[in-house]
This record gives sequence, structure tokens and C-alpha cells, in this order.
Amino acid sequence: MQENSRRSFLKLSGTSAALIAMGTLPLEAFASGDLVHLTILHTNDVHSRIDPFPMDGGRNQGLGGVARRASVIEKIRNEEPNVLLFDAGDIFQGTPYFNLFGGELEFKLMTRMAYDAATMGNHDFDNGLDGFDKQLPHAQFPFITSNYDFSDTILNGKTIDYKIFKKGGIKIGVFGLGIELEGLVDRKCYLNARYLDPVETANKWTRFLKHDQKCDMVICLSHLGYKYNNNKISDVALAAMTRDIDLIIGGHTHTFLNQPENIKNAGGGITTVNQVGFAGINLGRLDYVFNKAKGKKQRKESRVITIG
Amino acid sequence: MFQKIRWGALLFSILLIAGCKTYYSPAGAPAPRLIQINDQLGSDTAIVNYLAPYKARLDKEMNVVIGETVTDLTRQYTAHETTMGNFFSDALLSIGQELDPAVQISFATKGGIRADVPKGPMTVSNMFEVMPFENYVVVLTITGSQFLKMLDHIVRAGGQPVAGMTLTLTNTTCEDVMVQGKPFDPSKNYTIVTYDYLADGGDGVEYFRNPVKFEKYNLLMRDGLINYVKAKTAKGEKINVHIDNRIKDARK
Repeated sequence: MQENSRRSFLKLSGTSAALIAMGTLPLEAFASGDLVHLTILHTNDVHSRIDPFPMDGGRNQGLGGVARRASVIEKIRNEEPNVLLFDAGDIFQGTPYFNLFGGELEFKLMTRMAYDAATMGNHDFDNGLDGFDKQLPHAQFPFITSNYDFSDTILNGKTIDYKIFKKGGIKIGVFGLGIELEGLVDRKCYLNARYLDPVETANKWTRFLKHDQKCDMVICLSHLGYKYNNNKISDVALAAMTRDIDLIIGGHTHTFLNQPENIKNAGGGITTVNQVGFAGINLGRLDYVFNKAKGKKQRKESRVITIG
Repeated sequence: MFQKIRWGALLFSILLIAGCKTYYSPAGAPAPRLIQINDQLGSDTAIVNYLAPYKARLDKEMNVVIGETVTDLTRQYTAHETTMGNFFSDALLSIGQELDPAVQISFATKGGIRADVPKGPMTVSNMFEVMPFENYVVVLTITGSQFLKMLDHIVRAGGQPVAGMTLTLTNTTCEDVMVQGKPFDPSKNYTIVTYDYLADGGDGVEYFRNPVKFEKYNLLMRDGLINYVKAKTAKGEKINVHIDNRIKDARK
């Protein structure tokens, strides 16, 4: 009798796990009230790619497209209780949509898709600080730019250093890091914007978010780039040099990671680094389950969604 | 018996926990999945509708045919002279001379020209692809020694897009440098047309800093190209660019 119930339990367990794995059953069906499911969706380097790549025989033909991305995001929002959507910069430049409309459409579409936050990439400076400022009213989501000091520029007070999101009782602290502008961006496009050291900035804000604000999770939106062969600071280097960053959502290097990279950080914990190519070809998805009672992250699962 | 049930309950609990732990892998060991989404997921109709007027305006402006080229305008990074390079620099020279009749030569770099245009109709979109950047036309008067540094750069690059001048590349330098049909004289100043990215030191062009004269025009390089092709078309002409040996290659 005992043997039987044990066997049937194991069988059920296996089936349930498979169903959850296939995404056909919401985790809540199995979770006690102690488990909270959080879904992080992310893009980077979309570069004004509003329509899918044209069918011209090119490598990426038929891939991407905002209308499809919006539909996927909406579907996930309908399925999951707690969703956050981020972009890691370089929203601007790459198709005539940007030349013609100056980034207005990119911001309006991101607002319609209800992006929760973005950081600035180097190409977001392409029309100068004025050009960015002019489009800001179209963005109903914050730009988190912790290591750019805009206090002596037209953007003073128009971007933020961090934001704390509350989803299903979880506190998620987000800060943002941009790349060094000197030598990469025309001086007249960034004027008196000051670049602050990314590692110092990361330490400052993770300490604040994790310890002062007691966030359950800390996310860095980064346009530093995935990894370099020299000493240049990158997402991978940042992960190893800091502690308490749970997730770095990266950009700039247009890196297609089939799966995120988990890096042992300076505190002995794990920092996950992800980046999903460019041009909106992919939507990154990371599913976390939190044990609310312990305030501790138990598992995460990632998928790269190719919009094609 | 009671003992057995207690042990059973304990085992059940352990399995329950173990079952969860097996599935809920700890942080740092994510179970990644690659999901490709094809057309079946469809497009958000509201977004498609919202985009329609922008797209219509874009297509209307971008798909406009502004002229025709009788040859393929192509680039090759290792070549000393290309049809696209000649088209681009001829157009730049014409733009510059219209702004300032003193302009003698045009100078661009291979890396700044971003697309080819196949023979046939040329559209506004083609010009955006060739020159996607918001670079402005600049006319510079430079000294003979600055000109020499530009020649060094042309030699190092194995040729750059130029017009209004001819030269012969040798292994280490260049010879027979003619500007507007006259031999180059290093004691003289020269007036050249380029665009601000290069004039400001981009793409390894550090030698244009502190010129004798600097004039930046409120004309995008791309708009200059579009105007140039349109003007040709208005005169009933086509773009007819060939390799004309403005840069001869005597390297061994």
C-alpha cells in the first residue's frame, strides 16, 4: 500500500514537472503561497529595427519586427503573474525610421509594449543630448543611467540612477551602466556628460539596493559589452569584480548568447549575464521562482525567443 | 506499525522536498531553452495599425527613385579604387565646388561608405544605406604638409576615395600627385571638401586638425548625395562611373 502511493506520487511528480517544463501549466498551480514567479523579458541593441529584416536573401531576413515582439510580450503577460520588461540600450540608429522620425517611433512603441525601464547605449547619443531630450516625452518608462553624470547637461534630472520594482511582494532593484563615451561618441553629442567608473558605481548602487533597501534581487542594465580581450570593463568582468548583482542584462557587442552565462562573483555567489543579439531578432526570457518565506531565489530558467 | 507509518510519512516528506529540489534547480544552474517563434504567433494588430502611417511615409520617401546608375557601384576594402568610391568622391567634389568654388579635391574613407548600389534605379533608401550617418559637409583649407600627411594615409590604406586629384601608389609612397591637373606643390595651401566626422579626426584622420580655414555647412553628406543624383537626373544624365585610374597601382 505504501509502495503504491509512493509510486503514484513519483509518477505524478514526473508528469507535473514535465508539464511545468513545457510551460503548459502555470507554476502557481503547484506552488504553495510561499513561491512567487517572476519573469524577466529583455532586448538590447534594437537599433530602430521596427519592421522585420526584408526578404532580400540576407542572413537575418524575415526576423525581428516590433509587432511580433509586442504580440509575444502580450502573450507572456497574459500567462505570467509578474513580468518585467527591460532594454539594454542602442534603441536608436540603424534604419531610416530613425533618420526620418528621430527616435520618436522607437520610444512610442516601447511605451506601447510597456517597457519597465531601459538604459542608454552609445548610439542613443547619435542626435546629441538635444536629440535624445526631444524624444524623451514619448518614453513613458525611465532611463536608468547610474554611471552617466548628466548634471551639467540638458538631461539633468531626466534620467534616474536606480528604480525599485515590486512584483508579487518581491523587491527588484535595478541600476544601469553605460559605456565610456570618449573616443566612441562625437564629443558634441555628449558635451558635458561625465562617465563614472562602472565598478565603483555598481558597488555603490548594489550596496544601496541590496543592503539599505533590502531588495530581493538586483539587476544591472548594461551597455558595457559582453566580454573583451583586453582590460576594458565588460559584463563578464563586472560580474566577477562585484558582489550581489543577480543579473546583468547586457548589450553593445550584439552578442547572441544561446543561454546566459553564470559567473562566480566576488562574493562567491552567482551573477547571471545575458545578451540576446541585436535588432529585436530575439527576446530574452528568464523565469525566476522565489521562495517568499526565505526571501531566497530558488531557480531560474531562461529562454531565448526568436522573433521570426 | 505506528513507527512504520511515521517513517513512511517522513520518507514522503523527503521525497516531496527532493522532488521539488530536483525540479527547482538552484540559482546559478538555469535550464536554458531556445524557443524560435515563427509567423504563427502573428503580429500585434494594434501595433501594425499604429505603425501604418509612419511606414507609409517612410516607404513614400525611401522608395522614391532619384536616378539611375549604368554600372554596379561596389566597394572592396582592399582595392585602391572602386566604382562606389569614385561615385561617392565625385559627388562630394561636386557638392563642395557648389558650396565653395575654391574646392580642388574631395577626400573620404573606404570605411565610411556603407553599402553598394547595383546598376539600375537608385532610390533615396540606397543613399541612406550608403551614408547612414548624420555627417555634415566641411570645406577645409589645409597646408601642403597636412596634404602630405593625407597622402601618407592614402598610401597606408592602399588608396582612399578621392576626386580632383590623381596619383600613383608605390610600395612605400606615392608619385605623380596631380591636383586639378597640376603637380602637387608642398609649399602651397589646398582647399578640400570632406565631412565633419573625418575633419574632426575620425577614422584615423588626425591631420586635418588646426586647418588654415574651416567651414562646416548645414548640409548632410547624405542629402548632398541625393541632390547630386537628382541634379544629374534633371539634366537627363545617368550615373556613369568607371574605374578611371585616378589612383594607379605601381606597388610590387
